[in-house]
Amino acid sequence: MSFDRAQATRHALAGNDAYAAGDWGGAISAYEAALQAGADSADLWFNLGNACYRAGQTGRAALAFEKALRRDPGDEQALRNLELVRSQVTRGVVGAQRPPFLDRVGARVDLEVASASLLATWILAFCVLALRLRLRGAALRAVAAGMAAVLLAGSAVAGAATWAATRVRAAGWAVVLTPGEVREAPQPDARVAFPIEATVAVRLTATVGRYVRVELPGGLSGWIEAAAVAPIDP
Amino acid sequence: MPKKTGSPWGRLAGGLALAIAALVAPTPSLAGDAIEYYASVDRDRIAVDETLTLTVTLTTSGKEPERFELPSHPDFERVSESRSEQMSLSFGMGNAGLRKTKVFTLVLRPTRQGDLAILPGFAVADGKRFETGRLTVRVGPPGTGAPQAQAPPRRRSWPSPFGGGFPSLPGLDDDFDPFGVFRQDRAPPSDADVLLRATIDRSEVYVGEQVTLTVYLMARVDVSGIESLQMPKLDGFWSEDIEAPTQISSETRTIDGVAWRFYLLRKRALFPLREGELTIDPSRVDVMVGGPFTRRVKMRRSSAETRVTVKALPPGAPAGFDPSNVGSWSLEVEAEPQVATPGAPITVRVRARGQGNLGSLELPRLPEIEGMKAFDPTQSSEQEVRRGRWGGSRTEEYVLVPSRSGSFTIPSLELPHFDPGTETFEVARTAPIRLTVLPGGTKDPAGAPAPAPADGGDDGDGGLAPLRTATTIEPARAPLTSRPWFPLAVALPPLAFFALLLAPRLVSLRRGPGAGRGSRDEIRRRLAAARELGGRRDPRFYDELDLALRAALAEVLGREVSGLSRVQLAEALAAAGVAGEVAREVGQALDDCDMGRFAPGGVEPAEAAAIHGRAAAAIDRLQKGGRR
Repeated sequence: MSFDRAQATRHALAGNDAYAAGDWGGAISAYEAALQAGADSADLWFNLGNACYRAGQTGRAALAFEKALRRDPGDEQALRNLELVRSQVTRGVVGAQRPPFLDRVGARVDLEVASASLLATWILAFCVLALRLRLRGAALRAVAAGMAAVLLAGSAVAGAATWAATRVRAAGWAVVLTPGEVREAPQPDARVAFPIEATVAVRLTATVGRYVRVELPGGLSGWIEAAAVAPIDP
Repeated sequence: MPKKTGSPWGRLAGGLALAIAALVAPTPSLAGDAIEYYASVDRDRIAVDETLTLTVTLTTSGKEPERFELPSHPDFERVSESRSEQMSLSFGMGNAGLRKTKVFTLVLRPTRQGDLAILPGFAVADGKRFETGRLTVRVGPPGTGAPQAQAPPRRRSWPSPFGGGFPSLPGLDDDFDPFGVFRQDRAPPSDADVLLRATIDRSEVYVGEQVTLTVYLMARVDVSGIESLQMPKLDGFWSEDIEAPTQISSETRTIDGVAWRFYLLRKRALFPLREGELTIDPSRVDVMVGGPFTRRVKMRRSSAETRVTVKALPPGAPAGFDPSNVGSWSLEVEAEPQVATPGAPITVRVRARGQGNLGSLELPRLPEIEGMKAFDPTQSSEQEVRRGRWGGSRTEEYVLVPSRSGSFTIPSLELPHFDPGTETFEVARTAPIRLTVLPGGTKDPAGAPAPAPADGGDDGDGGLAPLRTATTIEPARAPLTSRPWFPLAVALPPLAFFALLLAPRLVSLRRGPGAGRGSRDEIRRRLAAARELGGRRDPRFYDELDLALRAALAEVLGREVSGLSRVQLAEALAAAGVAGEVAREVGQALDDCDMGRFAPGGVEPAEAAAIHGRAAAAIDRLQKGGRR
């Protein structure tokens, strides 16, 4: 997708104007147009989440806030809004459980920062080790060894963070957009396993026809129409 | 010391005569009137906050008096009263018969200070009038009462079968009881030992103000059980139990030097419903008295009647004041959610908290709000007692359903009430609450945006973090980890490092056997061995040194050098790029070794050290390159 900054900016500003005027539908259209123009920032997803929430589209709002958090996991306002949206819908219903600990940690890691840190520390560590081979004198060699150890430890931490962030992004997390019924088989007449509310986070584990298999953090699973859910990570 | 007179026999005879005279003579009390009627108080000087005990005794010999009245005490409040009867048979030469003694015990509390009179009671029998006599008690300010005489010792009331009993142990009195369990129970309890008291914490209150009625039993004997407590009807009051113990427990207090056990039986909050003089009727209780080693006695006790003066509320009540709202109240309103969509319910709770008669409290009604349908409220109360004052919270919960989008306001609500603590009318108010109903789908999120967190502001009233007007516009970027070069970038540094580490070895391997680290180790080993042999004057010194030199040459040239002449060796070294000076030093070292091996005589350590030094230096230069 080509990125047209001028057009994306124009659409984003139009969305802000529509939002200020209380035209939630217009704001949603404008923000989506900005995304279509190749923009993909946490701010844009955040604003789209607000507009969807105002328009009563809680499922889409939760998805937008999740996407904003993927792009900036430290965005406290996006996290607050996401919790707000979820608290209204999932209070005491199926799906109110939190994702596993590792997934929650991974979701809070900025993948770009973690992977860049991994590369930097990793390359530097081996440069220092190579330099050490040429150094004469025990003191200099000890200093080089210490620096290399610190850099390798840093790269281990950055590597773990990168792994956790990559893992959660590859786990198939999605958001339920519209409330519906989760069935025991990928058929329209299959028995209903449990109802599900919009905004609930689920994992998509399989696709059969127009149905996807969803798995909830609490362990419940079943089949739902693919149109009722949207993946957080492309 | 008075001197004794008379003989012992004379004194004995005199005593006998007196004893016979006492038996034959008529008993004074029986010889006179048929009725004895008298009253006594335990103290004649008390403080206004103390009590005194009035004991009235009426003794008759068979026939009951025609009229009988207890002493009246207009300046005293009767705290409790009890009555007991005893029958006794008296023998005497002059008079004998059945005598009945009634004892009335009244516990009185003065109502004012001064010299207060207890007026005589009277009894009429056989046309004769008997009076108890007027008693005067001096009542002083609080804390000025005379100490009460110690409670009369409760001595055994039946004679010992051994006459005077066993002689006392030295230092101990006749009532010595090493285990302390029989002392109180030896005599049956008298009526003055168990009292029922009903007190109120204030005698003058406003309508609706709390009066606390406390009913407790006072005892100075063992109480083994409370069989039944009859509380008065409490007409004219709204009453709530503050304490109603299911198990009796006591605390000991000393009153006027006497230890009493106090058993709390009931504590009630009374809220007068009308003004005027209201009477709290006596309470009654059946008490079982007695210990495990004595006979148990059932006693019925009743408290004194109590009066409460109830005042009307003062004038000046604010508009909308409901007379049942007396107490100290605060008012609050909460709405959840404050942002909703049409058709989605909004819960509004109006809650009053405080102290007072929660049962009669009337909360303000939520006014009608245009565009919102309100359902009838549900009520709930949470009662609590704080420092003996009755109160709690009352909540009315409304459900509002907006029928359209827009902004709505729940106006300020008011709860006018009379606070008896300050004796003023107060008005508790709430702040208005703004509700926002957003346009949207008919299915609103089940409820309710939670209240906004305090930080960062919000977007309207919904608690939503605000829109970002300074939006960063960035293109979509694939993460570093998904770029094709990322795995290569991770793999390259260690690969390069290990290549750097292994390169010399690979070079040595390419050059052939004997090269590399293994040959260097051999060179070092042989040089060390040669140094040791030279120190010991061992002729094998030259052999080891020669082998070290040849190993170094093989490492540099990548092939064995055995069998090469000096000229061939020099040519080979020149072909390998070794400087001529280095080649000459090596050749000189080899010649030194040949000369030493084939020359007659032993090895001189000094000479050996010099040769070793030159050879080691040549090897070192050779290994470092020695290139031209």
